[in-house]
Amino acid sequence: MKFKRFLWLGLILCFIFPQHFVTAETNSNDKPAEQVVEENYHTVLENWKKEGKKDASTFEASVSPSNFQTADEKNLLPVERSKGYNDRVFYWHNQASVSYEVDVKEAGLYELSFDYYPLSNEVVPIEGAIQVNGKYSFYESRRIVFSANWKNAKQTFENDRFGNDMIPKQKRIEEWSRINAEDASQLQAEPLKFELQKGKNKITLTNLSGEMLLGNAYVTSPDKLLSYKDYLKKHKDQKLVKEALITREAEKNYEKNSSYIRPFAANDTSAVPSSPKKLLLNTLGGESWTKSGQTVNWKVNVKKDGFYKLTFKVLQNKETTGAVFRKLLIDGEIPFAEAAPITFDFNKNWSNVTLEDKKGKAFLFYLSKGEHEIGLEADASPVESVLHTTNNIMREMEELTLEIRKLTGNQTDTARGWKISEYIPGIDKKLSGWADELEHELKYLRTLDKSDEDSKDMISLKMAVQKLRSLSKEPDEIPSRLTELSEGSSSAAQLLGNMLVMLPKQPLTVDRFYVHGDQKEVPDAEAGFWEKLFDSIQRFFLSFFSENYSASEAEEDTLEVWVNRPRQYVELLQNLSDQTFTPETGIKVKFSIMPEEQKLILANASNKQPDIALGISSWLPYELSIRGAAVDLHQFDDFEAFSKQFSPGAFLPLMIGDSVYAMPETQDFFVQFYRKDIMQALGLPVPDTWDDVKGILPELQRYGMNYYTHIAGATGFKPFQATAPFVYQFDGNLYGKNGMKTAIGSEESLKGIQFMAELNTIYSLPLQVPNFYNHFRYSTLPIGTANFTTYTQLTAAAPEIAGWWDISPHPGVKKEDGTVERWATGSGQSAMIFKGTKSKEDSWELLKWWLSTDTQTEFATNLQMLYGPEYMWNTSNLEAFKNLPWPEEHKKTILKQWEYLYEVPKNPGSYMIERELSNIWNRIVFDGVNPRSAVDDSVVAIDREIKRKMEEFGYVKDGKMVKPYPIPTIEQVKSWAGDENENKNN
Amino acid sequence: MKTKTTKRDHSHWMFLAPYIILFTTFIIIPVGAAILLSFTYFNAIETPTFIGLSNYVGLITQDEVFMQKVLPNTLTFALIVGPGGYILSFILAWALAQVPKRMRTILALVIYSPSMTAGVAMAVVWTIIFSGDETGYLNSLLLTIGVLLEPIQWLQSPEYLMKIMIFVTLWGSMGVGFLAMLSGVLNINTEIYEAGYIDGINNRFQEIIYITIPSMKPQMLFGAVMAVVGTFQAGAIGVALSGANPTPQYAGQLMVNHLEDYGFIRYEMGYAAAISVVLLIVVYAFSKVAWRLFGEKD
Repeated sequence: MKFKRFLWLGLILCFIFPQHFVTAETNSNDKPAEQVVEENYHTVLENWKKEGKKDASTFEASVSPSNFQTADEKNLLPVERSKGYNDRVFYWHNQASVSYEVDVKEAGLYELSFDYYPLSNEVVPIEGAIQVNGKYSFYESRRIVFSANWKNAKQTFENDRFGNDMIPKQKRIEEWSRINAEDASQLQAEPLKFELQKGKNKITLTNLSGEMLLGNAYVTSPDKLLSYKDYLKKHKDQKLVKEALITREAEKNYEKNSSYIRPFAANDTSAVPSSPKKLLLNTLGGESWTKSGQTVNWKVNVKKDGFYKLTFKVLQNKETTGAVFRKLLIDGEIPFAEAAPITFDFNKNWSNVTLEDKKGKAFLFYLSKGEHEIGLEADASPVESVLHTTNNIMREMEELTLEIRKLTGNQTDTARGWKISEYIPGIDKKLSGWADELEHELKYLRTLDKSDEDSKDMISLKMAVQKLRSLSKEPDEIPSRLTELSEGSSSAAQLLGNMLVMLPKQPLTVDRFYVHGDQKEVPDAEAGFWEKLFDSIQRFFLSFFSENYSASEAEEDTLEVWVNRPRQYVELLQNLSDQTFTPETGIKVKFSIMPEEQKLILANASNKQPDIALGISSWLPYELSIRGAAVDLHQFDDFEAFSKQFSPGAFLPLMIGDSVYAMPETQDFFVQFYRKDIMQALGLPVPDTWDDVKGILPELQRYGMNYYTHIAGATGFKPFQATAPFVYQFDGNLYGKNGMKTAIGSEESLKGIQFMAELNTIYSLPLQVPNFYNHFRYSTLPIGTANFTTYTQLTAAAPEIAGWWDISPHPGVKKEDGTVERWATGSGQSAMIFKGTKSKEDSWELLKWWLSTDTQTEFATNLQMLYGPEYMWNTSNLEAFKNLPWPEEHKKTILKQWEYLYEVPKNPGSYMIERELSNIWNRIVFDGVNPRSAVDDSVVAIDREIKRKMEEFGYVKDGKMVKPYPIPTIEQVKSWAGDENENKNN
Repeated sequence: MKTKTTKRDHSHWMFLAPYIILFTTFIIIPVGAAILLSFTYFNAIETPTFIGLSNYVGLITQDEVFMQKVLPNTLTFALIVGPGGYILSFILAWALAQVPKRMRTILALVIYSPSMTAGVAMAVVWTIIFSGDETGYLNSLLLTIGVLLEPIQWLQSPEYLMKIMIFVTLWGSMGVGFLAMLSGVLNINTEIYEAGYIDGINNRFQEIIYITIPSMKPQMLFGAVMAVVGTFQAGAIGVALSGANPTPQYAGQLMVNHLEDYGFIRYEMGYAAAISVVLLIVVYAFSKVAWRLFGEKD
């Protein structure tokens, strides 16, 4: 038996191998994934050290914008338009690049800095790239961030309807400031250094995104920080000021360089201020202050010259129980070397951390009389070397795995032996080398905090080391033990990957801080036992009476809106409408959180429905409207003009005939995700059609990889998202004439269905993938079609492959005229008005306001500004979508895909089509039934159910059609607002 | 007794009140409402309209899925899981009664614990075990020892779904019925056994048939009724395992799923109510059978 299989494998290999070489040769030039040329800064820095290149001795030069060389002189603004800079300035925007020359006396390493004034007032980051003498010095120089400073628009917190504090609006601080060129991830402890030659050097600054005014450019020699000893010497005639306690609440009066560092309401009597009744914003930071480089500066007024101690009342409960680091800044500068970084050890409770040296003696900071800024900057630089090593090892691991896979093929037979050490000599040394390196980093990590217990990061490292060691002892077993090396959730690579996500995070919650002389002056961090007990009893009883955004009766003249979204969204929504909508129109609105959308049906049955519901699934409005509970939006005169801002395909499930019962609010997209690195390593082109997909499948599967479709993502029941695209792409249709019968039995539909099943039966696509996101990260499924959820996961939670993946439109079917039919669904959430509304017109006004380009843009921007980049808002308003701060290339791809958005229209029995399509797939794939007969069986069942349902809703009586049920089409939607095309039904 | 004041005659209502109130609000009213609704057309939003027996007629004459899949599935499921679980409960309870006390307590807890965990939590565990890709525990194990060459779609393939549902339900069926039987076995007076041996019993099997079972009839009845009600009401398991209602090709569709299908997917509450009434009748009929078998005849 085994021999036979061996023989077959050999035979198959013979067939595949030569072919593989051919494709590799022809395809490698086709669409090579982006190649990163430069080394990263860490390596470059090490090389400089080895080569003996040194920091330049004291040097400072500045170049005024008048001396900049640029292609477009128009961008050089006169002094009057310089926003208070006493010189001409350069308007740096829209991919403009600017160069300047600097003459240095000696070759060496220099730092670059710039005067700048941020202009773009959105969340779009201002980014540029720096070239020295026409070359990028290292990878990091391709992306330099010019951060803007932010503050709360108001320094007091306003209250919402329930007396809870609200996070104030964020305002960009408009001022000139100077910034050093630093790496975008802020993992380096010091600003970036650039190597300059003796004599003239040309430095080019190219804009990537955002807008700003550029003032002087500086070239300086790197600064050396004072040591604490020297710092004390410098101020040796100063004394410790006693009895001068200054207490500052952290949540107020601060500036920050990231808009979404935000105050939190800690439900804890130890935090100040605190109330058992209301949510008071009393602390700052926490999960919003985790990224290295995020800085907060507090203003402090000092009454007397002299030395002071600093104590921060913090809660450092990082998930991994590891230490977090901050740089201390006084007036924007690090006072002495020991103040960067400062370690905050893990502690489950609030604690007062007095800044002190290693021996436990408190640092003394000199503050002169007057106003000062005391700042903390999140700092992950202490762990940078760990991240660097781990990253490198993971990349090598990936290569090794690919190499092994190329050798063994898609081989799951564990009984088969390999002499891997003959094919890949030194593989055991390689593994133990990695283990040594990681162990070294582990030892280093342990020195960083005082705790004796290992944090989760250290445990991950330790386990990875153990796995590598055990594998290196028996290298020949590696092919069958790949799950321990790089695949699966407990592999060494995954352990390291998880560590890479958590380790650089530096969360710290600050309640308040004290500038003080004596230690005794500082109050206790934790509240006493009795106080805590009393507080929690109070909270318990008060919890019965709280009504935070819960759905309760509104007053007569107030529109009631139920929102199926979390609290942050509702809060922001209420805020926005109070600020703009109500003043403009005089219509009062009350938003409430709807815990479950099924509640709408019950509320309708008992006539307690709201005026409007937002954020509901796109199938729900149809069910409500056909039973007469929804308002037809098409009756409003301006509806057709308004509808032009949305994808026509998005309206289809919300329509009955020509009536529209809801508006699309958010919109999903199905696009193709692919790993650039793997596609490149295998020399595969990125497929554009299903034929292309079929073309790359043999190659992928030979390495045990595969292509993912939504079919595998769905559980036992395959919804329309998974099945319908195939029917539409092959020009088929789900509904027949008059909507009374299904058309899945037609030639075209059948072809689509057959292909859908063939992908699994003939082309062996996976049948079940519980989590594509993970498989994509482990590179077992390096390519596949997925949606918005995967997109957010990959952008927010996959740092180890950041920059190594991309998206392209959904593969489709090539037509004779060369276009590709890429139809796919994109069901997002929708907004509807109920028949029982107090005022149809007012409700429609609110919907129009909410879905307008301006409001959607502002909402999306505010959301990301307040809560961070992972709060992405996939608005269905196309114009607003274009304004979103997402990567431009990705937006283009998504918009292109949205031209092929085809949501499945509904008729009363469409759930039967959905489930029978799922059953057809199931019968073909599992029971081996012939597609034609599988479809025919289902057609009978579907037609019967449609007829039954049509009878229920009065379209059919006694078996005869009373009135037709026209199925909405894209052409029909496009024909609104004056287009000549009249209703066309298939 | 009868000569006492009427005041006293009312006081028993005081003691009965909590039970009566709760029983009325949570059992009688809902059941009554369901029976009433089953004669109407009710789409969950508009007011119900009376349509007589149409729902029942439709259920029996036109509902292909109900007759072809749901009813056979439910009966198969109930007949295997009900008696199967019941017999298993008894065997385990009897076997446990033979081991020393400390060991017995521990084992009883181990066997009883699956039924304490909520069905959904259980399904999460089982979906991982039966997951359809190579990383599913069972697939992974079978692939490793070489039984399989490619993973089996346990939960998607109609061939396996029902079997897995039965297996999982059996695993979790050692509930209150089991505990009752355990206490029943333990409470039998040992003197009866001695008497039995004197009268000529000569092995353990006869002991069970002639002494153990007859002596614990009340517990057997309780276990049987619990098993009947439990198995007919089970429905969540198929949906939880396969991920959605309806199950693939209706392979794991039970009465309760069918009811939910009509009630919450097709919004035909009247029809769903009719199904629930049929379910009620079936459950009642089967528990009658249990009464016949184990009830005290007096």
